[in-house]
Amino acid sequence: MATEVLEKPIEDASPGKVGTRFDLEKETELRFEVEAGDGAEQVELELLSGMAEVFGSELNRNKKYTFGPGAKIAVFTWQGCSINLYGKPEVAYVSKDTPMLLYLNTHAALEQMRKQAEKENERGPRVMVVGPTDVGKSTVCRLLLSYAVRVGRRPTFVELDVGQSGVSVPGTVSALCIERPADVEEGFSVQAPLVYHFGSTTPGTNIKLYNKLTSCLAEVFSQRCEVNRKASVGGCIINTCGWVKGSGYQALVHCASAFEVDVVLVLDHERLYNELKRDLPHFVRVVLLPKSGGVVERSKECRREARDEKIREYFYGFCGVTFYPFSYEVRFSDVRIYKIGAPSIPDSCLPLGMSQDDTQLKLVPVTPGRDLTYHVLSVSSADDGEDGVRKGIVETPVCGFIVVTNVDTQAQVMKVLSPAPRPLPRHTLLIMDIRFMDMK
Amino acid sequence: VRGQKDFIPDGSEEQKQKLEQALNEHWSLISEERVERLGSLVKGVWIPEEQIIELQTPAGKFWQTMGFSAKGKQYLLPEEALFLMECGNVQVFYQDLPFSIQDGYENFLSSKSITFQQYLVRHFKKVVFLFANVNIYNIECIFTSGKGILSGHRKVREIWDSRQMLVLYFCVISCQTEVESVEEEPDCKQDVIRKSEVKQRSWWSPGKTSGSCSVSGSRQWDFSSIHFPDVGSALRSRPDDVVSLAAPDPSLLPGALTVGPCDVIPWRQRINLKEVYMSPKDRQREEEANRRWMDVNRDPEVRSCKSWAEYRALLARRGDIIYCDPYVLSNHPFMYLCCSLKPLDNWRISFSVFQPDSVSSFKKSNPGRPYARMVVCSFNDPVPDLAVLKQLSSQSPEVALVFAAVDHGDISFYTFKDFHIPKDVFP
Repeated sequence: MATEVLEKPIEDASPGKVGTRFDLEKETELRFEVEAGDGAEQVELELLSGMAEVFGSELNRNKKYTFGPGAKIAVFTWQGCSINLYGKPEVAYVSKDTPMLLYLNTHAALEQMRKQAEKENERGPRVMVVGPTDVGKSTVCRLLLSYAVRVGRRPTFVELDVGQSGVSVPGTVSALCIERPADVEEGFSVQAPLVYHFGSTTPGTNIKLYNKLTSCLAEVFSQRCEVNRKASVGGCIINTCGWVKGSGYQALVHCASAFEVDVVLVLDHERLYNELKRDLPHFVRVVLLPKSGGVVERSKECRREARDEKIREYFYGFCGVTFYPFSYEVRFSDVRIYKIGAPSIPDSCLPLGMSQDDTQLKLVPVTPGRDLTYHVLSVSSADDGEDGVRKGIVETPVCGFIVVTNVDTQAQVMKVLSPAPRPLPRHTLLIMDIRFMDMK
Repeated sequence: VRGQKDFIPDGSEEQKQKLEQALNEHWSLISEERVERLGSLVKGVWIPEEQIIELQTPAGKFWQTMGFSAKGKQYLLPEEALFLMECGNVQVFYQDLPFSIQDGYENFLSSKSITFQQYLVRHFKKVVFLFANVNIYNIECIFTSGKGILSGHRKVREIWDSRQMLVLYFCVISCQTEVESVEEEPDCKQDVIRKSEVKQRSWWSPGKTSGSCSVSGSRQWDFSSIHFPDVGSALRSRPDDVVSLAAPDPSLLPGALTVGPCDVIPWRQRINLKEVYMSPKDRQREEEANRRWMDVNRDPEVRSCKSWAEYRALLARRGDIIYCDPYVLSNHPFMYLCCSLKPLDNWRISFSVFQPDSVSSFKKSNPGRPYARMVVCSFNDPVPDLAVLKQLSSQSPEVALVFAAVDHGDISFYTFKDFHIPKDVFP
């Protein structure tokens, strides 16, 4: 139901860029996509009059927001507004058909729960957002978090999507305390997140570890709630993976139990909704919500690029301009590199009575070699103590990431890309399956 | 040692000597005097009419995996008592006179309890080494028996630690007790089955979820006054679900927004109802789940829980099995059914085998899913035919069936591994 609303080319825009003006009626949204790829032109957005928001964050009037290649943006207005787009978006259209009112009502219900919690000195709502891939889970999370912050709450964002993490690099699970609405261009400001190393982009590679980390995050969050009243009332919003079958589904149920969730928001998946209604106890409210028509399916390629971009952002900052990472050599003898989970072997090769599960949480030392090149390594914040500490490494958060850019087996050193100058803060490194080539 | 086993007598002097040496070692081991502290022995009285042993003094550590209580007293099954006598844990009296081990063998092993062969296998409760070749079909085993056990136990551990050998330590319990308990109360069979179905939700196991929150309290949200825009309830349109929402209170909204009421109904057509692609494995799991489809909330006990804390406590009370198996209990009535239809004279499942790492969490009343089920047979018996194999394996779905072939003191274990028959590419 896309309706073209008053598009007028504007002549007096910044040189070289063509501006297009959109006048939006109330409760409609402008959706546009910026062409992907390296040579693509950026698109600028300006609010001329009225009020509008992007995924829950309000736009400032007469400020130009820039969106890089591959961005998919929806500008929504509750009251009506006028917007200018500069540059050539791949698509741009106005839609009246958005589930925003449903999402806003969801927020209202959650806020009602927070009010009640505040009054009765209880804990606030813990919400889990589930659904298959490409239904807008992270967008709904961002929206609900931004709304909550805007009414003065301090919710916690729990990111369990190891493929497309909104907080840290891919291959991690994390929690972030939200103190201000997401930046329109950059997303949430990442200050002191709690990050755990998972090591891969799908929970299926080590479901046991995934569930373990979920429990870890839940425990830490509960501890925080006990000491911080505001965080407790704010509750949490949990973003999950798009894997909703088999073990993926069981991981969702485990997460619900670990976090003791009060509300589960199922996006556009009736089957999953029915299953969760069946398998979660009655005091958990399971809600089915439609997805927005603006949600775009991302190809595998697109996901990989998004992951790469996220790692680049970690080292170089947003749009590759804010940070200047360091490159230095690390001696093999100075670090200990581990992989979590022994490689799986066919059951027929296992001794009688051993089960594969036993190996999934094991710490396997990795001998540094050429194949380490381009791998992302997490720097565990575990103390560099002796073997006694080794046990806890899996459950210890990470303090940062480095990428191996070159390995010299003769000199027994590796060159790493690091966000901070040498020395490494800790010497226990965990290897990820994820690789990053520093090419741009 | 590779090659054929050295068992056919070839009349050579070397073999004779070896045999003699082995026998001598065996005898010297057995004839060694065993000293037990009287105080540490648990006293039991043999009641031949009922074929059980009643304990007079409190049971020891073995109670975790053996024995049962009834009428406020603790009892042992005869084979359990014999085993414990040999281990030096229990002393059994009959008419105020203590039983010797020989008396025990004569009295406690009968067709009513278990046969000698089965008892031998059951001995594996003690210590067993298994040197598993990659080829599981051929397992050689060394079996320590008699006096060496007490010290032997420690030895096993040492070997395990030092050489990382493939050592297994089985904990065998008789499945007879399980079956009997079901048999005694045929009326509650249904109940047992239902309970076991509830337990299938293994991922709730409380051990894994440590996120207990003292802030959580026992509050229950009153969702009848908190309205979520639930398209799912619109699909079902139950009367108690609110389908159309009134305009939310502006004080709840960011930026003091005011919006109109929200109608959920139009969205119900737009929700994704399309079939999900499922792999054959997923589909199979799905069918399985549907077959024993059960809403957790149909259980009145679950309905009475008001919070996660209570719900978890309930699940914990029902047994903290990590790998639960819906067949564990429901299987046994079925097994009896099967047997009564077409009794297998010589072949039956004698034991459920549990792994040692589960000892700490092991419960007699609720043993959980065994690691394997064991069929005891003699080496001299004919090889089981396909019909026997079929019938036995149907009695032990999802759990591996192990055949223990007893050849005097030696026991060999055989099991079938899963394999797939090659399929034609063209239909």
